[in-house]
Amino acid sequence: MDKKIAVLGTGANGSCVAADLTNAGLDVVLIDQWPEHVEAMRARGLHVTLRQGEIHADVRAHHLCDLAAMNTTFDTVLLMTKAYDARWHTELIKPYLKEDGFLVGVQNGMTAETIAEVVGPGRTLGCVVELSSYCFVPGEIKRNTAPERTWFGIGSFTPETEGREEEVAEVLRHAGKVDLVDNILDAKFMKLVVNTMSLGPMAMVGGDLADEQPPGMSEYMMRLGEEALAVGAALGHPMVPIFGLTQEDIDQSNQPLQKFIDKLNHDIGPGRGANTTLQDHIKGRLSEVDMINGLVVAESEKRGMAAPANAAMVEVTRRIYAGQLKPDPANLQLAIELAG
Amino acid sequence: MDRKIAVLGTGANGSCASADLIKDGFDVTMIDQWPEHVEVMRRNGLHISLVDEELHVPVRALHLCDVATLHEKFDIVFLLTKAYDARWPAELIKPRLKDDGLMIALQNAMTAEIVADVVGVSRTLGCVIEMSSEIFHPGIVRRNTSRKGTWFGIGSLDPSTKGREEEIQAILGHVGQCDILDNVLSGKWMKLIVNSMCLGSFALVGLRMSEAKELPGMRDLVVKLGTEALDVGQRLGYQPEPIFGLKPDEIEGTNRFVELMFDKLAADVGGRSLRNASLQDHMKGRKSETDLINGLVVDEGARFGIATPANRAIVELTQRIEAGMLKPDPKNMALIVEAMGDPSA
Repeated sequence: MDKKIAVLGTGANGSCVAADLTNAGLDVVLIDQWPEHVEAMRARGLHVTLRQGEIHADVRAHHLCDLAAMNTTFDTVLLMTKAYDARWHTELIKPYLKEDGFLVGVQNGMTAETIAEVVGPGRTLGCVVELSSYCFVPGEIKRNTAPERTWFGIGSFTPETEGREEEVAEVLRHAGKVDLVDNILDAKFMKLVVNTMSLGPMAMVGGDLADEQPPGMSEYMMRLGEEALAVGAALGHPMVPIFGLTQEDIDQSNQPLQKFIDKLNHDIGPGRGANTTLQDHIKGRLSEVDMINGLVVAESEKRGMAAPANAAMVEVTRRIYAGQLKPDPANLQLAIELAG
Repeated sequence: MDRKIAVLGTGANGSCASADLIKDGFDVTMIDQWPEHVEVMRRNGLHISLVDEELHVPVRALHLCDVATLHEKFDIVFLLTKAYDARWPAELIKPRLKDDGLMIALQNAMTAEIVADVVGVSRTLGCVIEMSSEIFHPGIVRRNTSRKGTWFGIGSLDPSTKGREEEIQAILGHVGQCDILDNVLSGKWMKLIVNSMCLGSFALVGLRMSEAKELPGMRDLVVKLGTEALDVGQRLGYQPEPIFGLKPDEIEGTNRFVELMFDKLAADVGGRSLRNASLQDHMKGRKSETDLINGLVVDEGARFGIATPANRAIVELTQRIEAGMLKPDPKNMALIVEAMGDPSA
């Protein structure tokens, strides 16, 4: 296979995927903005710890500044940065994307249309990713979700790319299960609904989905999800099965939102570390909450709908980023109070 | 002095500007994509070797990935990346620019409107920059143009920023001479004309300005490049504008406008002539700005049916260098002449 692939943004998830692709013998380069991580990967390769063993990959890692000297163009770029870094990274890599290449945001948030705006709708697909991992030490990754439980949904959202989904699917299949999804923007919104319930809330209390939840958490999570679903419906995104669930699974459940959370919890497995947002808090870095819960709030406001639980989630997260709060179980009560 | 300034892109020119501002007490954060340079600056500070001075300053230097951990917003962002790196750095820093802040590209080529497109026309000014410096080792920069020989021309793109030029003039005045231009986009095109004459051509022959301008045939080529760029600019509505601190009466009525600008530049760069930005790019195996300079002249010329054989020759031969098929060499002068003469070119 001579397809040239770049994984742009090789934090925890990007590294997991890049290691699998590299070990599958694909022609892949890793490009990342964290210099120490790139240097560690150059010196020692990439080391991924899974529950069932260890993976080592001798990767080709590059700093962002190396792009201008690479003298190459890519067939496939997997963008795996934080959602808030989507636009500038897309602009950065755009000159190095082949005319008929694909740049796919394998990330949370509704970034697919942002990417399409930059590279053109004919050069991107939508993608939902279910993969949990973390990285605190350069070059060292802990992957929670096993490859057989890792899930990618891929799909076209404009007619221009229909029939070409397999070009990206065949790449991602080396890192997990891939389903082709008809209504990919609905699926991405459904993932966003699940993220509104899981990322910010668990991060603010410094906890995890697998833990026994403090009193009031389940109700708060459901409020977050219901608000997100309601605004999703207004945006034309109905509830759709993701993570490999079927429509039947959803229809048969009297608590479908809980069903998604349970499936996610099952797929990540036991003995995991901090979720992506809690990792951001620990690192003192901006989280994706503004692009997840914040999107629900903004879109609700535009439509005269209320999303007080999500607004509270945004506010508590803002205070954590500002250093006024630390992740703590007590923050749940604060969020519930703010939500009114 | 208490305004928060970011310099985004601290290669050679960005480092020179940062060092002067830091020396004079401004609150400056340097942000750069070259990790080694940032690491060395953090460890050892930044060293600038000027014609008549060795300047060493401690700096606050950040990697790009540190932007996501910033809490403050900036009043002023100076963008000093390569011209092809304009839109993405603007997108990167946009969330960290104050609502009433200004982001100003101190770059070659026509990037002012790109920045305006990203951050809004009310949060930017246009800027022409004449400054020459080089960096081959992290943390250590050679500055060719003295402060007296360094020149900035700034101006509004939109009525909403009129009157704010003085804020920036007061800051850039610490780095060089700073004039306010009525028509900054014309000024930027005039600089593009000079760049179209000197950057790609001198880099192709692998020579410093002082040597390159003596090469047989070079002066004719340079004038031809500049004349093509001037003609295309006039079709685009850019009028001759005195830049580099020339006086209006110095350019009025001259039919040697491009030569006048060229000679002024050569005089400012002076005896300490270094390798220009594009030659440094070739030596580093990195993309140059030629597509955004000579390439823009060719593309816009094609739109108006103006032939631009000289600029086209520079673009084509530079592409061969960037593809690794050709090396900078004085002998390339013959290839340039040949490419220009090809009627199909």
